[in-house]
Amino acid sequence: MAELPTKACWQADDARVILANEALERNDAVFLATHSAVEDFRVSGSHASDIVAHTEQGLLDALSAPSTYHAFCVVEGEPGSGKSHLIRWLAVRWPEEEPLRPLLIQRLDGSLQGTLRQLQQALPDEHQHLFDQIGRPQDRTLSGRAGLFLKTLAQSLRPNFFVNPPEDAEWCARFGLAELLDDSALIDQWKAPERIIELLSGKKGKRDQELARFNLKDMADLEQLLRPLGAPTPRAVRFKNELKKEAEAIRQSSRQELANPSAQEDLRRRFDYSYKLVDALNERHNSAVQNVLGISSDGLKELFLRLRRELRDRRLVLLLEDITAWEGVDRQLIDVLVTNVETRQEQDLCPMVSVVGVTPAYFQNKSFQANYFQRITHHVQLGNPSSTQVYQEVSALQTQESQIAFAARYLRATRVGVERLTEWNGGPDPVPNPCESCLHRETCHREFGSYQGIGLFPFTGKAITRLYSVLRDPQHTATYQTPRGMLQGVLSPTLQHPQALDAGDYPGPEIETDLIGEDDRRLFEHGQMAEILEASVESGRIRERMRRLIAYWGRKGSAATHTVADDDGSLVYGGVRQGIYQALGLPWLGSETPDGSRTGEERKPAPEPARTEKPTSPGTATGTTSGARTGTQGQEGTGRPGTPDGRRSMTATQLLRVKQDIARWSEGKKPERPTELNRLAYEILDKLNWGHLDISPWLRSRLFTEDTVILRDTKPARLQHLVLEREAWVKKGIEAYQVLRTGGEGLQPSEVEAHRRAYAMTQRKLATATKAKVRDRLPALENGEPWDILGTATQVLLARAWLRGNVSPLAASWEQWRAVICDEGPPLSNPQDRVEVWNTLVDSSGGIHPTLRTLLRVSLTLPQYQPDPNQQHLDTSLALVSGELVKALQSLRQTFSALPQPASTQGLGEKLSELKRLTEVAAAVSQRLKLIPRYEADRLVERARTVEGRCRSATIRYHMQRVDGVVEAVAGHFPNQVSGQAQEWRTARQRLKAQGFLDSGAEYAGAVVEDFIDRVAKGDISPSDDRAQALAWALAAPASALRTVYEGLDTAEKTISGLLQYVEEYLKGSSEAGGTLDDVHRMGERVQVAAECAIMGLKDGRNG
Amino acid sequence: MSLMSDTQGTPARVWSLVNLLQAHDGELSRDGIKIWIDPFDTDTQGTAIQNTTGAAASLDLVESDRAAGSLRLLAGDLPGTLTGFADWVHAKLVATAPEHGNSVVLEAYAWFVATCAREKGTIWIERESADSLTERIRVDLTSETEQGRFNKTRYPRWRDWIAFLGLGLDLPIPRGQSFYPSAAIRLERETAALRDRFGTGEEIPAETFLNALAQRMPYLDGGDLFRTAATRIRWSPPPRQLSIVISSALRDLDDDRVLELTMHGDARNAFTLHPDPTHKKQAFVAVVLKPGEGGDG
Repeated sequence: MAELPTKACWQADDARVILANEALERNDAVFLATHSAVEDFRVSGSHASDIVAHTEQGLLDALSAPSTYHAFCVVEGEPGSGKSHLIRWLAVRWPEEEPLRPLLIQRLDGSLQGTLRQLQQALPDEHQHLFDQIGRPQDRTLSGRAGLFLKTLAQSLRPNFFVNPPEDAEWCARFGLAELLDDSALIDQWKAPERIIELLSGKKGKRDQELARFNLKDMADLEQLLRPLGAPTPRAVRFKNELKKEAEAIRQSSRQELANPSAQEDLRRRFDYSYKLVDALNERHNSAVQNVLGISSDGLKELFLRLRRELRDRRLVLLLEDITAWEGVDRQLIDVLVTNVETRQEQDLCPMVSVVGVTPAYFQNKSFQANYFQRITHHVQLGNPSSTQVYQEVSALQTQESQIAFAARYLRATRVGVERLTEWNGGPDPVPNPCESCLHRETCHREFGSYQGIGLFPFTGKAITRLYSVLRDPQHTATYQTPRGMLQGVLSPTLQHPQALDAGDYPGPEIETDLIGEDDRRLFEHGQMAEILEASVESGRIRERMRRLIAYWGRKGSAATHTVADDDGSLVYGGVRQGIYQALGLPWLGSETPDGSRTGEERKPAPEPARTEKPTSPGTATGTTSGARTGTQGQEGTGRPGTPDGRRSMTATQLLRVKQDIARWSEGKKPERPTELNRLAYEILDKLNWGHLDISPWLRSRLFTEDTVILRDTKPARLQHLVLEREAWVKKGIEAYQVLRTGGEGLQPSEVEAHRRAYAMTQRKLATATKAKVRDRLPALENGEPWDILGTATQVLLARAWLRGNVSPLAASWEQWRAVICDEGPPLSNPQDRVEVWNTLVDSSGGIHPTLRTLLRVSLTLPQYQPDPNQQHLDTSLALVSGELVKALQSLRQTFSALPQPASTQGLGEKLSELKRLTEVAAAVSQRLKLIPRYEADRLVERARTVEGRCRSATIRYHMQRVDGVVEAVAGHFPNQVSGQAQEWRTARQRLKAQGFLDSGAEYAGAVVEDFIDRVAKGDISPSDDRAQALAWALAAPASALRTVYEGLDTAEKTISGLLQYVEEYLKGSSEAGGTLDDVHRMGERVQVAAECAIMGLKDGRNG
Repeated sequence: MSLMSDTQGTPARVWSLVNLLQAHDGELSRDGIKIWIDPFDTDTQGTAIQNTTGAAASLDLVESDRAAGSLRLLAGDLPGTLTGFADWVHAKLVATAPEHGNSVVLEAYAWFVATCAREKGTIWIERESADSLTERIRVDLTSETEQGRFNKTRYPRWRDWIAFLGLGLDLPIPRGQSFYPSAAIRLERETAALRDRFGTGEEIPAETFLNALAQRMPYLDGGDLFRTAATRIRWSPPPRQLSIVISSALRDLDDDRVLELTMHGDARNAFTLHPDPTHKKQAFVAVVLKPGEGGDG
């Protein structure tokens, strides 16, 4: 049996010539050997019916028919779509009978000068004199030409510049655009004119049909430069302002958005001023270009007219590969091309058939459409408009078969070599095929496949179509899935590097050109192949070769991770036959026997457009795969299943998008949808078994929300964020979560198992990360111990309950707990009648106590609001009480001090702001609570003793009555002089009376005070060594009544004292006053009686 | 009275009750307990508290003093953290006699481990309805006379206890959740104890390590409960081929550098892990325990 091929069977030099980018640069033999028929194009135009068959031959027949006197054929297609190829083919196959060989003008360097030079060289000598009258390019630098171009362009915006002013001349004049743009600062700084001139000069051979036109981005740049410059008129100022408004939005739009054909109407509306300026400049661009290039438009026109006159008896066939190469004089050229000799009165010109290659962008130009569209005789379109892309989909190579056939011809030609091809020179024999005499033919074609006897080595049919299908323009503004894309992106990287194959380095990095997107390089379609390679292949270089081989040669689908048998019994792993691994010197990772068989669905070829011939590559099995497992088995219903959390599950595309995005992130790149990734990370976190993590539900709700769980670098990380680092488990976990919740349709059991394991691992790691985050977020105590938030909250609420008299510090623990956790009732201890610190401490927790109660309830899994006891509860809610909490409650009873608090709470942030307040109140509890029992007890005792003394052994009621008698007696004698003092007492007496202190019998309020006074007198005062008991004693004391009596007696004492002072002074003053002796005597008797009474009473009242 | 019959006695509630008693010097009146753990009186029938007490009693954690109307804590060696409590419960269940009501907890888990080994994966669990799954377990594990030992009603609580022990979790699936036996958390905890026995940094022959593990985790390969479960499902474990449950756990800990599975060439006495082509370790002849970083319990 023949051996497998292991070395390249072609030369790099041949590949370079044969695969040269521009179709028209090569010799005819190579061209014909690699030619793929251009067909299935669309045809329109005034003479479309001339083309019977929509094939290249049909087009040639129509155009070359002797009866065709005039044709203006436009071949429209995206760059690389095959326009040049078709035009070249027309040139090569044009009938020999044509008296004058067609003039083929290639794109070459893309410059106008170069194009004119070609035209001159193509014409026979007798016509060379015609070029004498056309202008000559002048020797100027690029920036010199660009400056002149802008200067001319600015001048052309003046209304009087053209003999026939353009339609927008008045609009340009209104805003003074000529003056606005005629500024030397713009010449120096605006890049757009230079870019256009550079393009017209061929861009050093890299122009590739790019239009030399102004665009919206140029206007945004212009606006920036115009800002510091003056404006000639108020309207020009307004224009600048309008331009500025639009420029902001233009800058934020991508080139793809601005180029999207379906958005043009909307863009014109949004960017009215900018668009009109673009149109105005492009409209005048030709005139300015001609001035710059030194080529006279009239000269060019005259050249062609004279040429046609000189060729009157022959037909001129002009084949122009690329009209953009004529930009600047293109309109004048087209004017000549569309001139139909048959419609001229003078029969002075020769017949002319012209074929012009244009891009869709050029074709859609408004001016072209308006002036020439109707005059196109044959319009050949090599693409179809796309509703989603800014570019057309190219007709060529749309089927996999045509892609393989195209590649096969180039493979054959490259193997034959330029020399042999030149010898063959398109002769009647078939193109030589080296495979026919190759020793490896049998095994090579079996393993790598063949097309019409041409081996696809080192590709396979699958590799060709796969590599072709992933060609992308990163900017999304052009298509690379064109014949040229096939050459540049698929064939060249391999054929120009045969040494990679010879050295055992194939497929190397060279096959992954910039035209292949990052996402397409990954092994997503092959299940967990990336992980398998990572685990199985030590060498990074070999691993990468394996990755490339499986990614592009392999078969889609997760079944690729199993060894299966191909139709001929050969083993296949990763979608690649064992023989291919051997030929390329790569390790075989599959098993030695099939460990799975492909299902009928796998064997089914991938649905694709009608095939005319199936490639014979046995190693290119395609099709979707289906593993043994159906992830949603047992799930009824149709359509996409829902997810456990009720969200709609994702489509395969969405799943792939997430997979790509998480891969980007894990590689250190920016994901496209970071919010979505963060949301998924949060969803996984949310599914942790929180009840087993020992993290209170309250903390969980504050620390772990959809906003606070982020993947590293997906948004600026702040203190509140749980940041998941770029670690494999995060990536695998998110992937696994996505797969599991959507059912993992079509995955192999081993992959599902791996996802399950990854999810479990992620849960485990997240649990650890979450606990660490809690530790990190909560400040620790000075000794490093964790801060007991629940214990502290319990203590603050308990201290409050004590001081409000809702529960005694001596009550059973559960009674105290009930007072803490249940809604608090009205205060029973009259805190306002207590020592100041008592009331202050109650007030300090006044604002926060409902919050703390909620914190406790939520943390202990109790309802947030206390249920109404009269309502039947549907759910049982038991408190998950921790030992620390119970101990905190007991500790307050013993120490009258709150648990230690962290030294700083600066890091708590907004989410935990309540905890800051908690520490403040806890500090107040620690500072003040222990003082309260002593202070309050002392004051109660002091008041009791004072009251007792002031009552002078009488009851409170009796003493009040006695005071009342004296006050009223003195007030009777001196109604005007002591009225103020008497009134003060009466007010106090009224208050005492209202509270029952002057009542008798059971209503007598003074009894409780007198009883307390008796207890104090007998030594029943609070214990000094037990604060809880002291507080309980104080709570039991009649603090409020005692205070009322104490204050009433105080008023009484002050009143009596005041009256006494007055009477004594009065008596002293009367004895010294003047008058008759009788007057003095009478008055003296009255006063003496009253004063004696009063003094006796007062003295009695004051001193007992 | 068992973890399975007292279905409202969740691990967290039992832990709460234990904490409460511990903080009250080991004894508290039933009235006091009621107010402490049900201050809003939501458990109007008293079932939840009764179940909690029952579950705790089944683990010999508490006993009732009917005369005093109180509950007394029996266990004197309880750790201070929830994770430590999980270790305690696990050790208790491992030591539970087969005739005890709680023995079904780990027997059922062993049944899952063995069935997963036989089925070469865990996916079958998701395909079974809870009805058929629990019925299969009941048929395999219990006699006709003890129908209540394991049933559909008890399945959620069983999963709760298993998750608490670090032996499994709920996986998200398109229409709900599915039980997934995953022993990595428990294995990591038990490995800490094995470090004391074997030390760190030295190769322990695979057989020795697995035998020691089978003592501490008898529901895994080689353990009594595993072997019994295999017999019950009429399946013979292939020699030196480990089940997916223990294989996944060992690989996880190998990834986390808690231990290292080592292999020398293609040694014949190697133990083969359940196939996972995405992992570097497919078999091992020895285990090296790495120094621990200290647990949180």
